[in-house]
Amino acid sequence: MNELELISEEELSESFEDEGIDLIGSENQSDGNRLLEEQVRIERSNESANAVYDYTPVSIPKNRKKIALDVLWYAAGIVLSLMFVLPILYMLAVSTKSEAAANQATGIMLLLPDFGNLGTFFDNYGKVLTEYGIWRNALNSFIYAAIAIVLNILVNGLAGYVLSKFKFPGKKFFTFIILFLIIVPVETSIIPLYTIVTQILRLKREMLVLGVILPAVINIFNIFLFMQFFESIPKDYEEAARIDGAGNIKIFFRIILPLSKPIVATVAVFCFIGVWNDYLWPMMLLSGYKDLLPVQATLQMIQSIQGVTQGEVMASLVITSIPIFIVYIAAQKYIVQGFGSAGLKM
Amino acid sequence: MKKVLRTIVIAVSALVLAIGMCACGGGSGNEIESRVDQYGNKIVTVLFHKASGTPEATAYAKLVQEYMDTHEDVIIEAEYVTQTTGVNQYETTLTTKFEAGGGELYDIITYDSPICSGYAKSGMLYDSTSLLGDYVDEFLPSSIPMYDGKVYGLPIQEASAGFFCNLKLLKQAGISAKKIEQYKNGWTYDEFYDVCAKLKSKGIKYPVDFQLNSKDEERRTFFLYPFGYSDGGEYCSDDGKKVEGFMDGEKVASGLEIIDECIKQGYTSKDIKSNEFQNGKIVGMYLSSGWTIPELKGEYKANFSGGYGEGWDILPYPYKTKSEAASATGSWCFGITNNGVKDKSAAVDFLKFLTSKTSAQVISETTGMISARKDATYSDGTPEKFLYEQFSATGKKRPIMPGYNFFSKQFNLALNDITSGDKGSVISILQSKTEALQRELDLDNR
Amino acid sequence: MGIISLIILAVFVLVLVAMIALDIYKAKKRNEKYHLKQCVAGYAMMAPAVALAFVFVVLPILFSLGYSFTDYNMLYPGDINFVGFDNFKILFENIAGHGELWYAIKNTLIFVVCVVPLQIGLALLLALFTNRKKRGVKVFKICFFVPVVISLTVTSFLWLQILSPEESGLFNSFLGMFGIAPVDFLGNEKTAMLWIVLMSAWQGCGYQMLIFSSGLTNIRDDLYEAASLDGAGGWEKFKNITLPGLKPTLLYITITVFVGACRVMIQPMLMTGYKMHTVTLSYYMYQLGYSSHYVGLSAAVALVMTVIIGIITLIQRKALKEN
Repeated sequence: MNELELISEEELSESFEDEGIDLIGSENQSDGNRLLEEQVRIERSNESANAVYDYTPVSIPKNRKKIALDVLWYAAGIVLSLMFVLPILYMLAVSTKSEAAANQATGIMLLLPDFGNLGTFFDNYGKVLTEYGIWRNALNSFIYAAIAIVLNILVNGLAGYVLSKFKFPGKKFFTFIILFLIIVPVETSIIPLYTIVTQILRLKREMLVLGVILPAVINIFNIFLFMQFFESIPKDYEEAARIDGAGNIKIFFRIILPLSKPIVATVAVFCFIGVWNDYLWPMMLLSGYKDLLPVQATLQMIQSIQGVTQGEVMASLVITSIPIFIVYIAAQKYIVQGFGSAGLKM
Repeated sequence: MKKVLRTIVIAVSALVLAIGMCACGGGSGNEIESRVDQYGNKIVTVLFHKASGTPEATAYAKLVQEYMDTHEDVIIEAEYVTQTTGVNQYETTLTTKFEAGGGELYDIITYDSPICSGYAKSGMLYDSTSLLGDYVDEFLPSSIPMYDGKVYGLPIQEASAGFFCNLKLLKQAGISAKKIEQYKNGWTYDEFYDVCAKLKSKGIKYPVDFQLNSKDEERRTFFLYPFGYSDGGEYCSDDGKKVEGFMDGEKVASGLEIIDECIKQGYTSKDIKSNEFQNGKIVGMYLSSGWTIPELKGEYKANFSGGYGEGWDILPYPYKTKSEAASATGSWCFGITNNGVKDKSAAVDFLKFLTSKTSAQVISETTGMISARKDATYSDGTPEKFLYEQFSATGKKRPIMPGYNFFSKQFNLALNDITSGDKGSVISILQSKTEALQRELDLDNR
Repeated sequence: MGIISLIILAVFVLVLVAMIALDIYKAKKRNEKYHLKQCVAGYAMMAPAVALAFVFVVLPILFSLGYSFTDYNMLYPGDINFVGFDNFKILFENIAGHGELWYAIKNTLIFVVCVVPLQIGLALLLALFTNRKKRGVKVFKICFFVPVVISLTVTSFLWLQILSPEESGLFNSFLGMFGIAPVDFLGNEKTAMLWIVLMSAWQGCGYQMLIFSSGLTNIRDDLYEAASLDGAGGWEKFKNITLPGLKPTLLYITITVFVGACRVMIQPMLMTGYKMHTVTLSYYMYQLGYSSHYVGLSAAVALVMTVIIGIITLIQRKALKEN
């Protein structure tokens, strides 16, 4: 059994990479293969701008024009990058400054952290975390996201599994509904959703958290993703397990899910990002319960605190962004796959 | 292992089923008799509209503590939620908790007086007429929040406004102390324009600041609505359902012409920065409320040497027709809510404490605004005395209508158009806004 | 209202039973058999998803549709009346009278018309720019992608500070270095929407850049080489090879960016509040349904919006596919 699993996993992940969404993450891995092709090509045509390869072992006579172009390219790249990174640097810089320092800063100092006062460097963060208690809301966000991720994979995964592998009457009907719901824009129904949660489900107080989590749990598109992916898993594995006497649930957890790690990870990552970054919906439901608010919603509260400084506001923004940065870096590969699968939507 | 997995699946299904049950079994009308904790202490929950940490919120907290110290069997649970841009936290909190019912909403809330009608109509506020009884008579009638003849709360304070003026600049412009004394008892638009013209001719950049630049829309409505009354105009019908034939009338337009005129003559601008008057250089008169008094006495004292009567003074709202003189009144109020708790006695008692003479004094001292109580006494020659007298004599409420929010919004849009100076005459602007407002009000009256 | 949802549930179940019966009938005709055990297990395993989807996806859509013909006010949930097309009439009058909806539509149009080409153009530019094998490409890509990572809420608050009308705001202190007085970027009716557009494009284009990049890597290199041998210039290569190669990607991106732009709401909400010069359709809908409690009217706006977006999306899809 285990051997079987191992092999198939490798195969699957390989095939996934070969499908060729080649971005940040996988660039280096395939360099080796491309190097050879590249060399052959360079020998064929030196002029092709596309084929210039800086660190190829083959020495190419570089003319001045090319060097100038390179310099130009790097210069443009740096300017463009600055356009995107400067506001972030500004955010980081201000988050370390006291109000006075932030107001006095001019010129380049606007974008540099307050290295002059290392003693008070993290004061804003301290104040935001302890006095304004943002850590509690961040913890809330983590808990909501964790519950949502687990339920999301279970609920949508099971549905996807049934729809892809089971034969039962009504299957076509369900599949049709799923395809239909994917097309319908859902965001326009936020107010009916609110009336459903508060007036039909009559959720109150702590129960309102369910109103925040559960809509994030069900994701029609994820069912569709799971369906697609599970269909590509050969029936043999399942049948082998069935002969061993495994039930449906066991097959799902022991065979199907382990074989689908990439898609599970993608779904989990996007679910996390979705729940963590959601602002409007939790705010609509939980405004009256400060202790239950997720972190994005508290940003607004911090803005309206009497005497809050720029530095504190920025520190709260940075704190809110850090987990997402970490997730993006750690899960690069899966996010890129997510982009690829997004294409399926069409 | 298998068992664990099965349990998880069952748990998920059970959860979903439970929600389904909630959906079917949900019912309203869950009322509770009274709010008591396990030791039999009465609990009163209160929502204050100021963020904790602000001076006003600190004053409330002090009062709450004081009450709890003297009433050992009562626990006051105070919450401080402020109005925010984005998702308005104050509004959202009230709405969600009101919808939840069953004592979820606070027993006492604070609200801005013109919103009273809307909240009363929706049933959020509790008809406190009989609960409060004669106690209401201790307050000046123009600041009691009423709708349809019923009382829905009591005022916290009175935000009466007037024209703060820089006496140094006025004297430079050749306006004598005698004149100012005369103006203090009422003045006409023409006298107002005359003062502006004199200030302008002396090189004062902005003779008057109406706070047209204020980011807070309700504040702009508050300061400027009295002009609409000052030629005998009315914004809406008595039941608050009709504005066509009222707000678009000539009388309202001729009252509001003061803004148009001042913009046209360059007496004012919507580009004046906040605190420009307090800086004491380029603004002669400044339309503001009591909260400016502590600023002028404290932070900006140096710019107004001599203090009240010497360095600065307050002039009343000018009028177009003397008998119709109107000034801005109405501030935030305390109201008892319809939250499903039947026993209101504890809430009423605390409400009476909050609005007592001593409490009103504590709040007035932090906010600078005057008391709305009849028994408030201010010594002669104080700015508070002046505001209190103006408010008793000419105070007129903002229009009483359930759709007040819509009124305020459209009034602001009209102000925008008037101040932009190129959107036609005041009356044509008012006509188009009134039309839009009537449509919005009709939504409620279908 | 609970009753209405129960009726909808009943209809849903009835349709489901009918479809199941039909399937069974068909199967019998074809002499196929369903395993009862498998069927039961299947339904049981799908139940959570079906229940949640019913409550949180299907019901809101149906309610939204239903509400738009009622005078439902959130504060009076007991008093809902059917009003026919009154809501749509009111909306039409609002547009005709240059009311809020008119501004909302105008601002949304401005936003969509500006942000869609800007964001896609920027993304394509960045993708082409980074589509070469050089040291540092990865660093550049990460830089371009950084704004995507921070949420819309954080971005809005960050830019609120950057565009602050105070002298301490980043842009104003920059202007201050040249002796220019502080500018109220977001308070100015003429420039506020422009800044929201710029910010949104800035925030979002990194995401589309990555999708374009993956589209570009799928274009075979030998096509370019062949073109080079034929003496084609950079522009011709772009026109004849890159663009056709990117067509499916472009289609996908155009539609997603377009739909996303139509729904713009958080940015104006957090950066300017409810102001006529920045209110957008979604924001108007939210304000009407949630803050003013007119759920019925808001649902009517939602319905109109859904229909318009749907139609335009279909047209785009067709137009791009035919080309």
